[in-house]
Formats: sequence, C-alpha cells, structure tokens
Amino acid sequence: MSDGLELREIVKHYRGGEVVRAVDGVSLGIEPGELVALYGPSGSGKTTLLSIAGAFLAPDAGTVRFAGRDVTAFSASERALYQRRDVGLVQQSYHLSAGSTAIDNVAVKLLADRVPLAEARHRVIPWLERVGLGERLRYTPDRLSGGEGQRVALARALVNEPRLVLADEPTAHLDRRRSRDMLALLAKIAHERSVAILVVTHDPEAAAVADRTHTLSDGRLTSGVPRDLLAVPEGAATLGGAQP
Amino acid sequence: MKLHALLHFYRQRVRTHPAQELLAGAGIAIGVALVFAVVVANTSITTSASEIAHGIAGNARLQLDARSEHGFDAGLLRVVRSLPSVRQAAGIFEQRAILQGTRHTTSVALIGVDASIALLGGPLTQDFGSQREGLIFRDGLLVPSGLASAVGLTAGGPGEPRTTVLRLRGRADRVPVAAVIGSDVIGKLSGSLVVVGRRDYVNRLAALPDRLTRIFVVPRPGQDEQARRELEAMANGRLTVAPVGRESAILTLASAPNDQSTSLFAAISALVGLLLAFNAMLLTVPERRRAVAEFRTHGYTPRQVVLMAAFDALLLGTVASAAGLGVGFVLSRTAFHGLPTYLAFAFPFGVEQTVPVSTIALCFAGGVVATFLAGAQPLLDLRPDRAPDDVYREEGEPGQALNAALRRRMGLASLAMLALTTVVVSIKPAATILGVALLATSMLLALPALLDVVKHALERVARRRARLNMLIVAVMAVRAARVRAVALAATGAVAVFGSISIEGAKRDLVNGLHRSFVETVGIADLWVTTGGDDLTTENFIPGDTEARIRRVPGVQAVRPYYGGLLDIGDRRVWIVARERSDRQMLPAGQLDTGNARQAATALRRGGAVALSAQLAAATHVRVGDMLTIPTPTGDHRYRVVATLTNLGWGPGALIVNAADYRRDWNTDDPTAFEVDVRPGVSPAAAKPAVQSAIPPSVALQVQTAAERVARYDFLAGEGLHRLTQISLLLLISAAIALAAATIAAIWQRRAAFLDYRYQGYATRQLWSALLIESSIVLITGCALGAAAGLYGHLLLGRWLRLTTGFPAPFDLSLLASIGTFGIVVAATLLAIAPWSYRAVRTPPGRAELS
Repeated sequence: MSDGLELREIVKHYRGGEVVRAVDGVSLGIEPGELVALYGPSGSGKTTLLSIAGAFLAPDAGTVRFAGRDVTAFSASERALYQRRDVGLVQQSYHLSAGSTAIDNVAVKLLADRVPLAEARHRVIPWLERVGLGERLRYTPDRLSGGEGQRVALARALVNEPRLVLADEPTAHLDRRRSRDMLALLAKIAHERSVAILVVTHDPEAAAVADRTHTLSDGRLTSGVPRDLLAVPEGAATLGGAQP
Repeated sequence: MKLHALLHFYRQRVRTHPAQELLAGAGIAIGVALVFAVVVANTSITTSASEIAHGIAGNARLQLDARSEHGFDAGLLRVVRSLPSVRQAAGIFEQRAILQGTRHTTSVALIGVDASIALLGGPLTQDFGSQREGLIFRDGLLVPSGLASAVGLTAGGPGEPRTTVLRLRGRADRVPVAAVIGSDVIGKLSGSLVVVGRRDYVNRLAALPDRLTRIFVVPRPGQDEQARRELEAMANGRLTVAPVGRESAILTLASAPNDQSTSLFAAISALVGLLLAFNAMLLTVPERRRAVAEFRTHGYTPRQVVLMAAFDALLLGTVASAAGLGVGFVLSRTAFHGLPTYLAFAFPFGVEQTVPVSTIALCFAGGVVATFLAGAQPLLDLRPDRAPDDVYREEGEPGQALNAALRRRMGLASLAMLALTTVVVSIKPAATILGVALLATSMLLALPALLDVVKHALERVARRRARLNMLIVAVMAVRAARVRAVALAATGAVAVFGSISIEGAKRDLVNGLHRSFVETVGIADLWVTTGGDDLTTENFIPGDTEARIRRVPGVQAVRPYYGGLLDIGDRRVWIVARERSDRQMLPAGQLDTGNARQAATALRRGGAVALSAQLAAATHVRVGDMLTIPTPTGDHRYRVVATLTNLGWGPGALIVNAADYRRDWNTDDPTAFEVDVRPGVSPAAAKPAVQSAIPPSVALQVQTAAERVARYDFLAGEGLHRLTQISLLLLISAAIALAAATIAAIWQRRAAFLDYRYQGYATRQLWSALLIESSIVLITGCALGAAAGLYGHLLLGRWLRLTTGFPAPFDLSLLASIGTFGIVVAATLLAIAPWSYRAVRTPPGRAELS
C-alpha cells in the first residue's frame, strides 16, 4: 500500500447535450518525494483529474487513495480535513483577498485549521521569504504583480506543510526565469520533504524538473510528453528529465 | 446614440444584475408610493370639505355665523334680506348628530334648510326649490348614498319610508329617511357625511325652535364690502361675519398638525426610499464603473456614457415611479383611506377621493429624478483628471475601493454634518425635514470609518483566539469589498434609522395624548355624555337628570361639564369649562408656561383662561395678557393665566370656569355630567346604577373614566393610523430590501467561496464566516442607524411639540429601539441564512474543471 497518492480507474463524464468523457479510466500513482507533470491539450480533463485527486470533485467510478486511505469514501468533514491538512492546492486563477496583506492571504489556509492569527502570521513569513516575497510581506494584492500574486498563492498552498501538492498551471502568469524558479522550488520541496506533487501544466520547463511526465488526452492517460511540446524553443530545458 | 443600442446595453445590464435593478426600483417605488398616498389622502379631506361648503353655499360670498350650536333667532334672516346691499340670503341650522344605522354608527353634520337655500345655486341644494321640494317639505332626512350604505338604513315596509336612529342633544329618535341621494344628483358629495332635513323639522329634533346657526349671503354686485359692514353692524359682536370659504380654511388649519406630521413622516419615508435606492445602486456601482471604463476604452465619449446612464435612469425611474403611483393609489384607497374621526366631529367632510393631476406629475417626476441621482455616482469617473481605466488601478476588487484618505474625509464630513444638523434644527425647528436629511447623510458618511473601527477591534479580539478564526476570515472579506460592505451596512442603517425615528416620534405622540386624556378625563370617576365620538362638545337638555344621578347610592357628587367649539380667527378651538368644585381646573402635566397652582386658583375665581401655546402665539398673547374671546353674547376679555399643549386637538384648546361659560355663552345646557363615587365604591360597579337612573327618553351614555380614556386612545390611534402604517411599511420594505440586497451580494461571490473551499474550509466554517461577515456589516449599519434614529426621534418629537403643539414628551424608549434593531438584524440574517448556505456549497463549474 502506497503512502502517496493512488488514482485507480478514475472515470468522470459530463452529461450535457453530449457526453464528454473528461477522464476515462485513468490510473496514476505518485509516491512521496515524487513530482509528476501532467500535460494535455485544453479541455482534456487535466483539471478534472486534479480536482478528483484533491477530493474537490467525486469521480463517477474508480478510487482515490492517499496514504492508504480511501479518499472517495470520506465524509464531508473528513474531506475538508484532508484538504486542509494533507493537500496544498495552487490554482491557475488564484484568488487573493483584496485589502489584506500577503501575510494574511497566506495565513487564511492556517485559519481553517484553527491556528490563531498571531501564530499563523509567524508561520507564514518563512514561506513568503522562500518564494521570494520577503520584501513584500505587507503588500496588499493591488500592489503585487501577477507573478508575485501567483507566488503568494504558492506559499498559501505550502504553508500547512501538506503531503500532497496539486498545482494547476502554477507558472501560467510567470516569466521563464520565475517559472523555472517556481518549478525548482516545487521539486526541492517534493524531494526534501517527501511531498507528492502533481503539476498540471503546458510548460515545457516542468518536464525538466519532473520525476515523471504523463499526457492526458481525450480522457486517457499516456506516459511522456505530447509531441507538440517536443518542438520547444531553443534555450528551453531539454526533455531529458521526462521518463517514458 | 441610437435607441436600439441604448436598449441593448440596458437589457444587458438588467440581465447581469437583475436583483440590484429590482432593489433600486423597489426603493424608488416605496418612496413614491408613500408620498403619493399621503398627499392624496390629505388633499381629499380638505377638497371634499370645500366641495361640501360650496355644495350648500353656492353663489354666496359671505356668511353670518352663530358662535354656538344654540344658534340665533331665525327672524334675523328677514333682517338680513332687508339690508340694502344684500341680493339674496338663506339660512341653515347645523348640529352635530349621530346617525345610528343597522351596520354602523357615525358622527354627521345635520343641516336644516328651507326652499330658499335653492336660490344660492349650490350643487347639494339647488334642486330643493323644484323637484325635491316635496321631499324636503316632508318630515324626514335626505341621506347621501355613500353614507346610507355605510351606516345601513332600516328597510321600510310597503308604502313606508326607510328609517334610521338619530341621536341629537341627548335624545334618540327614529326618523324617516325621505330620500337617499346618489351621485347622479350630487356627484362626489354622495360620499359626504352630511344629512339634510327641513329646517323647522331639524329645529324640532334639536328642541331648538326657530333657530339658525348660519346665514349665507349673496351681496349685490360690487357691494361685498358694504354688505360685510352692514352685517357686522347687525351682528353687534355676537355673531361672526366671514367669507364663505372660511370653513375650508379652518379645516385646513385644524387638520394641519395631522397633515404636517403625516407629510413629514412621508417625506422621511421618501428620503429613506431614495437612500434605499441609492444603496441598491451602490451595489452595482463597481460593475457600472467597470462598464464606464470599458465603454471609454472602446472610444465612447463622455457624452455618450452620460446618455446611457440617463437612459437607464429614465427607464428604471419610469417603471419604478409608475409602480409607486399604483401602489400609492391602492394605499390611499385602503390603508390610508380611514376617515380621521377626530376631525369628523367638528367638520362636515366626505369620503370621496380627489387625485389632482399635479400630484401625479410631481410624484412621478420626483421618482425619475431620484433614480437619476441615485445612479449618477459612476459618472464621477468621467472627470477630466481621471484616466478611462482608473477603476482597475484601485485597491481591491475593481470599483470596490474606498481609500483611507477618502474614508477619513467622509468621517470628518459626517461630524461636520452632524454639527450642522444640530445647529439648523436648534435655530429653526421648522427645518426639521432638512435636519433629518442632514442627519441621515451624516450617518451614511460615518459608515466607512465606523466599519474600519469595528474591523480593527474585532481583529484585535480574535487574533490570539483560534476559535474566533472565522471572525478573522469574515473581517478579511469585509475589507476586500468596502463599497459592497458600506452599501449593505447603509441599507441596514437607513432602514433602522427611518423606523426608529418615525416610530419613536409616533410613540411619544401616542403616550403624550394618552397622558393628556388621563389628566382631562381623570377628574371624575364616571362620565355621562351623549356618547358621540367627540371632545365632549355635544350639549343636551339636562332636565332632572342631574338630580336623579345624585340620588343613586354610591354617588358622592355630580357636576355639569361644558364643552364646545368656537372659531377664533381661522382656528376651531376646543372650549373646556369646568366647575369650581372640580378636582383640578387644568391638566398640570400639559402646562407650557405659567404656574399650575396659581392658574387653577385664578380659573376658579373666574375671568381667567388657560389656552394652548399655539393659540396664544396665533392671538399674540402671553401669560398675564388679556385675551378677547368672541362668545355668543359678545366679545369678552379674559386674563391669560397659563399656556398648555393643544390637549390633543390640533387647532388648540381653551379652559375657562363653568360659571363664566354659562354667562358668556348664555346656556345652561351641559355637554356632560362628571360623577364622583363614594370612597370604596368602584366606578365600574356604580356605572349600571347611574345608567338606570337616566330616563329612557334621554339618550345619554355612562362611561367610566378608564373607558372614556380608552375611547380617546382609540380615536387618537385612528388619527395616527397613517403614521403607524408608514412606519410599519417602511420597516417591512426596508427589511425585505436589506435581505434581498445581502442575498444578491452573497450570490455574486460564489466563486470566492469556492476558492476558500479549495483551501480546505469546511462548508460549516465557510457558512459561519459568511454569517459573521453579514452580521458585522448588518449590526454595524443597524447600530449606527439606531443611534441616528434616536437622534432623529428627538428631532421629530421636538418638531411635533413646537410646530404642531401636540403633547409629545420625549421618551428614549431604548427597549423599543433595540427591538426594532433586533428585528431588522434577525429577520435579515434568518432570510439570508439558507441562501448563504447554498452559496457556500456551490460546486465547481464544469468550465473550471475541464
């Protein structure tokens, strides 16, 4: 039994005018300390799979296990506890509370877990420094750039020291150098703290730091990177890190 | 811009924010409805009274009035007709009477006329000389159809007329109804409370033979002034000569305090309605500011943007004002339609409604202008010093920013406006409506700063207590969208402010009137009266009733009481005359100036008068001065010994000694007997014995003092009914508006809640954070509204006392204010709880998950 994330035969269909097979029998395991990059065209079901892994969405079929526990069988309160304690989520379109400082925006995650604000603020600072925002601790979102905001969202995902990080296009708003730094940070966290990380991305840089890469297309999972990403611009990372 | 383009943009906006649009419209409609209903109801009373006066007086331009209901000798009519400058003259005999039908009993004006009245050409009586001659020369009454159906007449047998019971001067007679006159004959007057009979027949019913109370005079052309002089010479100071329109003027003055109160409260309701609309619009301000920015970046000129805003306001204002007029019309015909009984016993007026076109136009235009004002705020972004997309560079959500400097400036402006309110109202009480508007504005300006203080305080309390974490989350949410928080808090503030100030002032008035009644009526244990809904002003022939009551076991003393109405200038003043042996000569609690004990002594001695402060001001007298009273025996001078409140009668009251009254009014007919019971005997137990001592032929009613006070309370409550309704309508509509605005704002934030759920927040946590957030905003707003409402209550109460003269002592009534505050907050939270639960449970959309 794995200590990490284990997705088995996950199926999720959306029923509208026509049935969309967003995820169609996907199995994927991520061990602690492992960073997996998941590629796929838009609408291929990547975010759906990530949401199922985080128990934000229930699959039509299949099971999600984390640290040996069946996440799909969790009650609502167990689910919230899982999301609060075990999962760190980085979203493409992050939401920061306007009018609150970077510290307080990150502390929000800890408040859900009954950490007093004063203590939460102390615990937040090292994480903001780690994502390069040590000079911006008391900035409100309107004074942060898009990339800085993304990094606040990353710090928020990591501040509770989760055992599973689910990142949905975490480098979407970042320039190449920042993207590389962020991915390197994620890889470092995965390896140093034995965190299982699933990164949904279009970024070829991710393949360079990922322990494994997969592609989701038409709801089916294959190993490796999609062909169109092979033609990365010159100077970009090689795909040597990608494992079949 | 083309009309279809304007319509397209408006449709788009309504589709995006239907709830806010509806709220804004509702706010405007509430204001328009209340103002329209009140104006129509008030106008209808005075208009119908004028119509009745004209309906009887026709072409007459002068009138000669008796100074009491006993009237004057009918032979005087011949003398008037013989005056050189008089072309025509006709006399009438008026009495207040009670019509007792099968369904209802009501106070009416009973008017006795003869065929000569038709010569005046009044619509009500012009046919009396011709086809209706037969009718009025029979014994019986002509009853307007509206009144007949309201009271219910007893059906007559074959060949027999219908009948009704008429109570007049202590006698109850079953009288035939000669005819029921419909609107086909007398138009709108068919709804009037006037009953007409042959003059000598009415004289007989009243047991006052050959008497008239008024002579209408048509002077010869161009000789009005001469006619007046001749009439005055003939009147010799015992009758009053006046223009025919005087009755309307007197009624206008009598109903003025009530009309003023109602109008002021309606104006405040309109103000509240406008503020509700403004707040509803404020919720859409961020979205509309972003829209303005979009239009401008796409090359639309400021003029085009203004045109779009004006078009939006015109459409919304038109629909809302039309809805408001509709609701107002329904209100004026239903809730506000009740006849103010307290006026009915002094004036003949009808129940027909008059809706002047000018009132419709004014209310409609007011609604449209208010909508434009409420929605104009985003146009400030068109100022030349602002870049088209400045809104996107502000702190927080675009358009939701209120920067610290602005919040500070608003706080300072609030304090300045509060000071200005105090100064304005202190210097000029008549400017109370302006003061209340300033106060409301000051309250709204204070909100952003107050919310800041509350947020800081709460965060300080919660930051070291883990179990208060959801409070922190709630505070962060409040901080994230200041405009939204201020708009919602302001809606609560306005709702509570309006309700507490109006309800408080009304309660003061009700309590004040009650105390006044207790003091006035509490001087005897039992009252024997004609039983009319009056101020104890209907006199009766005493016979041996007093002696009979005196003989009843348990009765200690019986005193005659005298009351009446007397026109002094344009005021129909309530006269109260008390025996020297009365427990108290004047209600000390109603004293305005003077010394109660000295005044009572002077009144007992005679030649003294205590009068309402408003009346004293109108007649330019003060304590110690001499007041000339135009009595039926001529003008007599009385020394003013005290001034009082108006004792609950708008035009004012006047208290004299009973002996003075009997002498100067030349009558021994009392309007009541005051009965004291022996110690140990309860008034309620003595009441049946006293009632049975009164002969069956005498239609007098016995009431305990408590019953009489209760009846007065009921009548006062009826008079103030509109105020209660305005206050209640305001509270209900404001609570609905507040709940709807809060729900709409919550519903818009579902995406933000989803983000919290991604952070691991349980539904319960998120729900409680949302309810706490709503509570912070609502409680802050409503608490500020309550504080401002108490000040508003103080201002309105002061205005009532100073401007109308009503007894309305200020009573803080914290408990009632807390109750109103609690009701609004609790009702709103209860309404939003299920919606907020649904909002925080909203699942991720498919688009987010693909």
